[in-house]
Amino acid sequence: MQAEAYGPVVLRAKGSTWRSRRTEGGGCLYDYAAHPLDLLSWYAGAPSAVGGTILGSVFSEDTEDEVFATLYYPSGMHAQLSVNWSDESFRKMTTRVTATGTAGRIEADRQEIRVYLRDTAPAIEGYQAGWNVKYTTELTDPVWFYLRGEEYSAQLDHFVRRVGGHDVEGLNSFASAAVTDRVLELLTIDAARGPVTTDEAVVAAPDARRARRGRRG
Amino acid sequence: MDRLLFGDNQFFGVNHMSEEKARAQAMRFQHLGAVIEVLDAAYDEGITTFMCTTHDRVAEIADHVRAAPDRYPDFTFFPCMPYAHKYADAVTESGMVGALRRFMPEEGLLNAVMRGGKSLATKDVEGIITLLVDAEMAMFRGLRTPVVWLQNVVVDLLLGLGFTDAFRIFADHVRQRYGAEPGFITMNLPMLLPVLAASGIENPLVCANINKIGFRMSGGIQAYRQALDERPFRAVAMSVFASGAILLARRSSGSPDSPVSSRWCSAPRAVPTSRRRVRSWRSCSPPAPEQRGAGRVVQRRAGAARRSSAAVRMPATVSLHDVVTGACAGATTGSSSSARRMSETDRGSK
Repeated sequence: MQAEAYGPVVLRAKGSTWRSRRTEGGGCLYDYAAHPLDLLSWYAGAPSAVGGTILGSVFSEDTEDEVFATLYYPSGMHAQLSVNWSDESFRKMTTRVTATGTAGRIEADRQEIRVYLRDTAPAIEGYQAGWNVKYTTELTDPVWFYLRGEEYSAQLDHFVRRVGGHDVEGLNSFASAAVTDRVLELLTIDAARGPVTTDEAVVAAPDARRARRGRRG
Repeated sequence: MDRLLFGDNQFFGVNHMSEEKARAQAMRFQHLGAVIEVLDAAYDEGITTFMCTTHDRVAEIADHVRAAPDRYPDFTFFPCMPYAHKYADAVTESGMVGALRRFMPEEGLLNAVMRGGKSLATKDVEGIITLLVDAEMAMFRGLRTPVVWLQNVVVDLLLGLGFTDAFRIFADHVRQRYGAEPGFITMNLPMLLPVLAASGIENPLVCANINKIGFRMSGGIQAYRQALDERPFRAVAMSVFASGAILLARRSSGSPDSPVSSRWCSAPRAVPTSRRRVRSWRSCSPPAPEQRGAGRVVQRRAGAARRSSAAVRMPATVSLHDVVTGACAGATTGSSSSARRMSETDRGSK
């Protein structure tokens, strides 16, 4: 699987804001990557291991602006995470999850689902072999009051109703949130370890950049 | 008010159905020339009203029109404010006070600062609202803006919070300072109308999604029909093709009259559709491949939209939102347009 999120949050180095201060905003990992990771946890549960985590800076001095990582699941499935909140080419936050398997591929974002089914895929009502594209107009339930998107409206409504009804059982729980929170912690630990498999010859070279150029030439 | 309004979503990478389509549009219209080309084509077809956000790039369009009064004697802007992203981004970067400072109007800066400073100190909402309206209107100085719209993100937030005084403040300010009609965009039409009436805003201009699958018509199609029948207001319909979903469903089924299946309207056939109405939908089928040049699409769309408006029971203005989508993204993309329908009470006066 692939889980991605991109958007324009921190776009310049100067004039740091609360978002780019780790103690106040939490950074790209907690503010952005948490969402695609939460989707992975919802689909696949808790990963057994993580690796290759990079918490990279694009503009921020104090915190990360991009997150890359690999997640390993007990089932043998693995996922790659790619998140960047310093990408102005996206008008607003875009989250995308892609699943690739023996029967085809599914890509889902906020507004549409693109499904490619191979001939070998089991029959699914409403879907055919090859590409199938479904839009939010078809997939999203209407809300009784709309504000900034069905998803936000429905979420707020659901939350208020549950509070009003003293209803503690629901789609999400503290337990499911804790699964995602644990993943964020694993990624933080993994990133601090730095690269694990290294090429000593390159590491030992006096000027890494010159070494790269030499390889190309 | 014109019968046909031209929208701006396609110019700024906004599409309510597909992020892919939105991205393709952002690429297609990244240079001002491509935007002007389409606006010119629309203008030459008689679509002279541009209903637009207060996006920074709209300021460039405003400059272009201002600089050529002979070319655009009838060009009319319907500003929709605020462009929420601009404020969200500014708050992200500069915080609340810093963001407000950034949007102070150039004109009467001292006055604005006084007004803004006092407003912040006293939480004087009227001062803040009027200040922000003035800041948003600055880019249209010297241009025709007979209607000024409040965007749905703000209208529906205020409606939900019950802070309805703000509607009256906005309406009064727009009338007094700009001699313009206030308009309100909403996704919750049946709920908004009684609130506007209670705020003393009579026969308001209200723009909302109106389409046969009930896409983003909160409260349901029936409540919208009832509101159109019973409440005194001037309705402007947008997303009449549900961001292209209606055309898309029709195309994939191969039949112009096939019901559109959607979660938005669990029983599409339950909504009575007159014969005339069906004909009007059919007339809005996508252009043949050889007709897919932007200008020609505009022309055809304009014609289709006019026929569509003629078929509804009230005088109509149609606004074209994603009209060039078909031109830039191929046959799989839909087009949406907006039809404005005036209420019975307004028929005589307009």
